[in-house]
Amino acid sequence: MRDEKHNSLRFAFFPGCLVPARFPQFEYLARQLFPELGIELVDVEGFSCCPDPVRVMGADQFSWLVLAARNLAVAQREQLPILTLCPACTLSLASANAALRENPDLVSPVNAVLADVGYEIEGPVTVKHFLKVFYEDIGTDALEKMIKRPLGGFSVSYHSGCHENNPPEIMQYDNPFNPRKTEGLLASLGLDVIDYVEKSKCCGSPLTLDGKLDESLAAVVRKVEDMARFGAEGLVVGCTSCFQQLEIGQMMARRRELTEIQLPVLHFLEVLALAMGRSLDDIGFKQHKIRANRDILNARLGEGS
Amino acid sequence: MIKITYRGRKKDYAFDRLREACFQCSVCSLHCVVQDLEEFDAKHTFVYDLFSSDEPHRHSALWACSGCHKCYEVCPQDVNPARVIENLREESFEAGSAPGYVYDQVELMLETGMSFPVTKKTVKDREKLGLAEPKKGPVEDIRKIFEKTGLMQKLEKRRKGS
Repeated sequence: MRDEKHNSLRFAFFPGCLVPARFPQFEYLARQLFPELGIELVDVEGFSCCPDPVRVMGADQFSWLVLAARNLAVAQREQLPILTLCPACTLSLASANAALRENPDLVSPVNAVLADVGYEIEGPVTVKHFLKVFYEDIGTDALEKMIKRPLGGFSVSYHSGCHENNPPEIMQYDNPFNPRKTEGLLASLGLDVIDYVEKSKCCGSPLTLDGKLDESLAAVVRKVEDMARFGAEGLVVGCTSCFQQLEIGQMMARRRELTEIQLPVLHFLEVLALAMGRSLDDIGFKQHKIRANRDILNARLGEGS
Repeated sequence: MIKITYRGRKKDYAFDRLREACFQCSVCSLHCVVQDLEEFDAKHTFVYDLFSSDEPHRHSALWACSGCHKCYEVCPQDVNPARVIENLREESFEAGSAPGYVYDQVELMLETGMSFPVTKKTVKDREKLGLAEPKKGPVEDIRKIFEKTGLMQKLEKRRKGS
């Protein structure tokens, strides 16, 4: 939401749980880069876990709805839209908006519980994943002009993950079966984006969590082999859970001799950082589990090894 | 047609729709990553396999679904398997047959307000980046909410091992 008074895009910052706890480098990059692109992140007191739209919603749907509505009410009190780093957080909060809008008879029971904790939800709250802010509020043309260093045509495939676009009437971003918008953003950063067949498939992280490791690795192998077949030198994700799964999954798949393919996994915030002039060291590439193709990436970035 | 002997206890299971409408085209299973599991026959849909067991809410792979909703998107009959799975999960949680990590995650939310633990490594890594330790979540609010919605009672039942 363009805040005219502040002449910037101003959002309540909702970093979620996984990023601050396990991947703080992505929170760091967001805090560093977004102001350079005209996005103001406001730290708001009172947010909890979104909560998890798969596991906590599965545990108890009404509790999920109340907790999600509480988070919406926190932002509503500050009169700010929400910017998320995680697609699952986006799904959770946007689904709560949709549930309350489509079932008005749920509003009263939800507010009855929220009253106990001093909140009330009155109407929907805008929730946007950062990719949506980039695509809709900044746009690919403007983004291309804002970057400091185009990425030299490094070839990547984009894995959108399960929650970026599904269900479309709630996420309202892109076609879940053939997403193109984030690919457009990546092209603005100077990447050569490679299309591939297995685009819409899950990375397999819920299988890992559920202890089904063989099938989880099969999902990873299927994905990266398809990307490599079409010429990708790396892959980009918008979701931190997918980042973890595709890194560790490729590492384990190689150890088990399930594949030779090792594509470096880059979070969107990392390629954005590179395009804004940061180095591979700045984004912590040394800590990545898959560091293959570093030479190619370096060459494209024009840095030399 | 799906052979369903399982009787749901909530009317929003939409069993009638499922039973009447699904004609086993399996388009949903083309997009489903859970279909790789050996528990499932590739000719069937995930939901069919769940309901072919006597107690679908105790099925070992019920919680492996990622909630991607693609099955719901592609179904030509508007069956909405994603919704069926969500409802079965709620039942499995209450019955105590959800996987341990689900209860652990909900307990962690109660204890810290977050779904992932803040460890020494978290604090160290954040410090290196100049980020403050994550603030503790609104645990009082969460406790009150859990008590009012009945989720606390479900957790207590599970803690007692029943």
